Amino acid sequence: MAFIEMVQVSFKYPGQKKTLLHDINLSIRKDGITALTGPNGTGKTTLSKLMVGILVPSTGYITLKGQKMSGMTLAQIGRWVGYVFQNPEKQLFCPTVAEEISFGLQNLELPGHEVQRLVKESLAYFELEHLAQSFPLQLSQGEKRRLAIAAVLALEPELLVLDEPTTGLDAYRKHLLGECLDKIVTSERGVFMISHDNNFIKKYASRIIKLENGRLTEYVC
Amino acid sequence: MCVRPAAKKINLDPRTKIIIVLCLSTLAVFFNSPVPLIMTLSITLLLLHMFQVNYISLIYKFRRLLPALVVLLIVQSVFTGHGQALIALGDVYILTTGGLSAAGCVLLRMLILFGSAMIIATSNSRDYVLALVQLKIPYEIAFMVLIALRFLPIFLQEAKDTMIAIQLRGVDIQRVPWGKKMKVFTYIFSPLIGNVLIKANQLAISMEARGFRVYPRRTYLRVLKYNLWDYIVTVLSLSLTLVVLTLTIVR
Amino acid sequence: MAAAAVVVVNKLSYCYQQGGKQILKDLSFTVEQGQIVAILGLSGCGKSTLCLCLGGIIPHYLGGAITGQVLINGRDTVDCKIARLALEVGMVFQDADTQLFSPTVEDEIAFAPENLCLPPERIRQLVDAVIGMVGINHLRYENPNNLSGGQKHLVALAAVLAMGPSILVLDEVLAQLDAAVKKNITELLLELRRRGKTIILVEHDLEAVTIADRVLLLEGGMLVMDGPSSILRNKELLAGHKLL
Repeated sequence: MAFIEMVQVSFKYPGQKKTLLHDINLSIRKDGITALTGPNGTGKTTLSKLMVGILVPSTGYITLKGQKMSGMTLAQIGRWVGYVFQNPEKQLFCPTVAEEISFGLQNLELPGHEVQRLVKESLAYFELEHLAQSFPLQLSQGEKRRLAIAAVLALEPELLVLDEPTTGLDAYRKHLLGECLDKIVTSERGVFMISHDNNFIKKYASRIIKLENGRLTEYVC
Repeated sequence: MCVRPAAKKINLDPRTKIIIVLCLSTLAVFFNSPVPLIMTLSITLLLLHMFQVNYISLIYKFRRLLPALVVLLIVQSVFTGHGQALIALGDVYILTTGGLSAAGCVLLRMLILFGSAMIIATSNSRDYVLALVQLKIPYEIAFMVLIALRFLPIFLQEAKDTMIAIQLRGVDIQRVPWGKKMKVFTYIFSPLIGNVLIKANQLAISMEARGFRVYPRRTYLRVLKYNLWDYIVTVLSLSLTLVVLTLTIVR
Repeated sequence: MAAAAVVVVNKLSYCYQQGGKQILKDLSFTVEQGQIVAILGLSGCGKSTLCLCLGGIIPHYLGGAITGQVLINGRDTVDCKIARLALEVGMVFQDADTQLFSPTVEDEIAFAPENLCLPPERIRQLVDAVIGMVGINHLRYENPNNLSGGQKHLVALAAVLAMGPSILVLDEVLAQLDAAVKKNITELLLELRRRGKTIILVEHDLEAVTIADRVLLLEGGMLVMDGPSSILRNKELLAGHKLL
């Protein structure tokens, strides 16, 4: 069974005349790394937002683990699907870097010492220890992106959706991210990423989908 | 000078619209009884119709404010006790004809002001900056208005995005207790304020990096020009308003 | 005859706060007219800070403690206002959102020529030319707010080109564009170079800087390498500096 299934999904932003996505049928499994690529402005970010329930399809429906997403809250979806925005600032809202990572863990009602341990691990893995008490919005673009990924991954979602995750990352950090994504996949979770970075896609993606003119025109395994 | 896609609807100069709105709001504030306010509202609706604004769907979008509006009107009518009593508890008047009339006036004023805002929204914010500059307001001040209009929807969207991000990290906003809900709202305001300050700084840098205020004055791609209809509407609006106000005062 | 040096950086050091961590340490290099120079380095090595110094934003806006010199066409950036420097150095920043503030793309591009007091007909010509050059005619009347990330960067680039600066500094712009648009912009940059413009590209993406004539490598705020673009083919060297 597909983890996320999009069935005949079309989408148009309110007030816009143009339909951005037409009759999308897409199955996302909870394994491997799927990459979505395509020209600028074609609807990739919109598609990713539909996948996590931020946007609602104009027609068609989307299921998550067999259940229609229209009957689920974002909090329920967020337990299974982690989403990292194209602009990481949009999801940073805590006063410190450490609190940003611990926020989601506290909602899982884990004991305090366990939360602290996981936060410490995460800070170390993403090389953010020296910034633990810093205000997230004052970090560099690359650091913000790492923090956003760390904060979402702390919840250990079964599928991670990343919108342009390599923007602002240098080669070394891209390598770290790639290793991290590989680790996620080996722990029986899936990754869905939007990217222009052909090298990164070729190196890490097991499946590449192309979105052009609002339609999935290429589907390469 | 204006190279834009052809517009089918009537489009007056933004300065004309500013004058229309000033006249309508002045009358709305000045009149204290339902009949002249209804006439002013009718003129507002006629203008909206001429500008092809779908005001009914816009009002529908704000339907969630209706309960608050009803409460406001009830409070207004309860605290304005004159005229014939309609509901009374002994000597205490709960609802009177005077109170209903006052509540009606408040509602009509709000609708006129709402309609005025819709008239303003029929022009582009950039045109209003041009209008203010051509009315000899310094560009920096006019530009502040543009920036506020430009960034308000962005900040509203950011607040929404933060709320989405919070929910996606496991907070079910519909079910959390009020105490936690308040804490969630502080998580929204803190980055919003931080973002406002950071964006303001970055915007200032971007503007200077594009030569803003390199010279004491600046030119404009488009220049607003009054046409015959603008003159007619301006003169008509101002003279009608003055006449009505004068007659009302004299009476 | 050697081309004139349009950018001269001489023993530049900088920290954001007095007594704080030094972000740039004793940088010295020159850039000649008509060169495309790539500045590479890991996150946090000082590339963006260097860009801000080239545009005069440091020290005029961000303050901090700066020593050494940055000369743009012979003018010391410390003695020249940002708006004045902008006539010579066009900067496109990493975050496109904060560079776009007009209701339409056309207005955005017209902003800089309006600041230069050009007559309306000339502004119109410039806007048309730049829109054609960057290939965004289909976005002309769009609200920049509603554009995708890559499209915003194209508009920001167009807005800067409308000023006609002789030096262009692009901070991680190419990496955010899709392959087809990246190719068009790369060709545009090559054309600008043919017209005598100097281009400084700050990138993580090595593929985006293959058009560079010269590569500067920053590490920990220091210039550790300054060489020809053939460096980009030396995988061992790049891997040694964690760029591959």
